[in-house]
Amino acid sequence: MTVPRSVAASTPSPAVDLAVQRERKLVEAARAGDGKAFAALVRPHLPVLYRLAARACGDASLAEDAVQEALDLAYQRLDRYEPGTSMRGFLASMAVRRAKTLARGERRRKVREDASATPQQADTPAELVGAADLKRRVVEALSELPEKRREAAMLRLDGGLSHAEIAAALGSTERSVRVMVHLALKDLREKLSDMFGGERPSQPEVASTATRSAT
Amino acid sequence: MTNHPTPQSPEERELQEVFDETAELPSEAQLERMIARAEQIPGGGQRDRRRRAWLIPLAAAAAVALAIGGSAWWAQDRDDGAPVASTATSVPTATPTATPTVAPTAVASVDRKQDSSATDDTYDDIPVLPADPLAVLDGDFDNGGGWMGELDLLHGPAGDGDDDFWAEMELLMEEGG
Repeated sequence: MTVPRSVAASTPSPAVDLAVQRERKLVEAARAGDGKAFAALVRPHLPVLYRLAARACGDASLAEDAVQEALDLAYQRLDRYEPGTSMRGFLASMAVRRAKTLARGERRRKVREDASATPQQADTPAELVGAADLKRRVVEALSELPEKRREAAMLRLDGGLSHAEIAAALGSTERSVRVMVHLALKDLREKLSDMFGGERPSQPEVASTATRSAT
Repeated sequence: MTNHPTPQSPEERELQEVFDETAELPSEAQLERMIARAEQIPGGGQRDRRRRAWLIPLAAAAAVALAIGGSAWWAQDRDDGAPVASTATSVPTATPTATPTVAPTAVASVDRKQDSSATDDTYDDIPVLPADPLAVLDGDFDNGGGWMGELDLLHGPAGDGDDDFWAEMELLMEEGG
């Protein structure tokens, strides 16, 4: 993602306190009906929510609607959010679940339409077909995982969440999440083994890429 | 808001790159649209909460009525009101008698077959209540003819019918759980 993940200190700093206070004010204002305050709360997380929703749907065209519905739900549950914890984690699992619900409806609709539609000749350029094929393979590999493991993997790799944030989002323990993520990654690596090129960096490093980032 | 950097193993880094390459990201226009829609949510959310205030007791009452009705239907013979399924479950625990009897389930079955006036086809769609209502919405429960099937008829299938109704229903169930 384009939003860099900030490195929070292990002990609360004045800057963190200020951020929490600001977030608390935004939450209170949003709950009082201030739309701009709610938008300010969720805005930094929209790209990640969209990415998660698109992955969970397997269909980018539904992602925007899924994000919108997740935000509706998040607003209704805003009183459950504790400022200073992970807003991204709070929103992320809702986006994934709304996306899955939308995708189910869409699949049923497509089945009906495909049954009555005439076949069309694919004329997409090869590169686009290749990119779409990669995406499809990732979605398929994810879909073969058990549900909770799949969700944990998406929150980790698309959501950029820490194990603790995933645990909070899934209502699980951090230890369980570590196991779930480990098993999910192992399965995914096996299913997608041919997608790993030799040029990829393999040295261990702290997550600092764009996607493993947050504000 | 508060985030903590998480170290990744080399294996996870490789997968991360695959996920990054295949990720869908929103365009600027989409982002602006999502922000604009987010700004509109608080007003709508308050309306939703007011609407749910009366929907919650209504949904709870409907669920109880359906559960009771379904159980009564299952337990009663459709013509004379004599219990069928309940007999079948209670007889095996009774004191054995000298006269052998036909297995209770068989009796029930024979009764149904011999009773030509009964609308036998209705036995095929006796409501089945799922152990976990959320399983219905998660697609793990075949709702053919069950009580969720009734709701399907009224509101269209979950995810493909009256979206507002099903969204409310899912919310209620999640919050009830």
